[in-house]
Amino acid sequence: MTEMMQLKDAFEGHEIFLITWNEKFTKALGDTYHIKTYLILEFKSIKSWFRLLSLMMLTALKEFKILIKERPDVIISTGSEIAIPICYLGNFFGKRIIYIESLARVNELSGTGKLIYPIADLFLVQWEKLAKKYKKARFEGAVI
Amino acid sequence: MIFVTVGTLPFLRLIKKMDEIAGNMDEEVIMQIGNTKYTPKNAKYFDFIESYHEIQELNRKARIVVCHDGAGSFITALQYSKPLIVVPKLKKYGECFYDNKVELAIELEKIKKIKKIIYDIDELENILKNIDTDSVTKINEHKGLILALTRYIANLEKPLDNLEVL
Repeated sequence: MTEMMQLKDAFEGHEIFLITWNEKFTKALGDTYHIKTYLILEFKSIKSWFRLLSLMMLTALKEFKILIKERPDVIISTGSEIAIPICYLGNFFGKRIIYIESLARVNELSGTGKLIYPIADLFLVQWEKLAKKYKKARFEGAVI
Repeated sequence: MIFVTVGTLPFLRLIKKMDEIAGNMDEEVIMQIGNTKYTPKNAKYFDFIESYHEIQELNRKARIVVCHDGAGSFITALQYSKPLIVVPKLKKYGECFYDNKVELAIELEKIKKIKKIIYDIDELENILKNIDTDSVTKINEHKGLILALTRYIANLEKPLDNLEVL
């Protein structure tokens, strides 16, 4: 979320809302920048693959409701797992999907990145060597 | 002032050591301890802060920032071009599931945006005492990425026959 907030100037003049993890820090960021924020899922509640899958289904349901309510035109994500359902749902409904891989991914895409890669309309990475590795990935700079 | 931050998840090894070091130093130490179950005795501490502005303020006032290997923490600290010491969580201590998270710290150390990565926590006190706090590479303006996003989004609003080839 810190990375996304570094890029908020790109969204100036547009109506935006955030979907993010339910943590004190993310809530604080949403408040600081006065952005409508949906908090879903606590990070520490993921302890196993089974739990992850069942929580993903619950997340997909929550995100579907948000999608119907807010009707965004564009979905922009820096990951992580909670981005997967909304990107796929959004893609299904014809929304544009922009994915920005984290600065922390230097030599390899994240699991989330690999899953969203096939459906992204714009796939940005923050290290040039990563863009060379993936055909669709573009390098346009980094948050630092 | 030395500002220590560990993010959301616990990091006992770093917090305990920094508490010990704070007891040996005159300089003020302030620690953001997240969910770490430990009560520091020699340093001021808090678990989370309600306002991001306050975190930014602590980064701005600090002489040195010591943090875990979290991209979010790096980015916040680097906004103020502070000397950054990174203590990565290590699989051998059961602190994380895999060690490749430290890739980013290694890259940033190469381009001199991070002063030092510390794997052996016993080195930390010495590094803090002897670190050169000048000449930290300034953070680059991330205009390139913002520009690319702005252009792309603006393009989406154009009528179909007017689209640029991106």
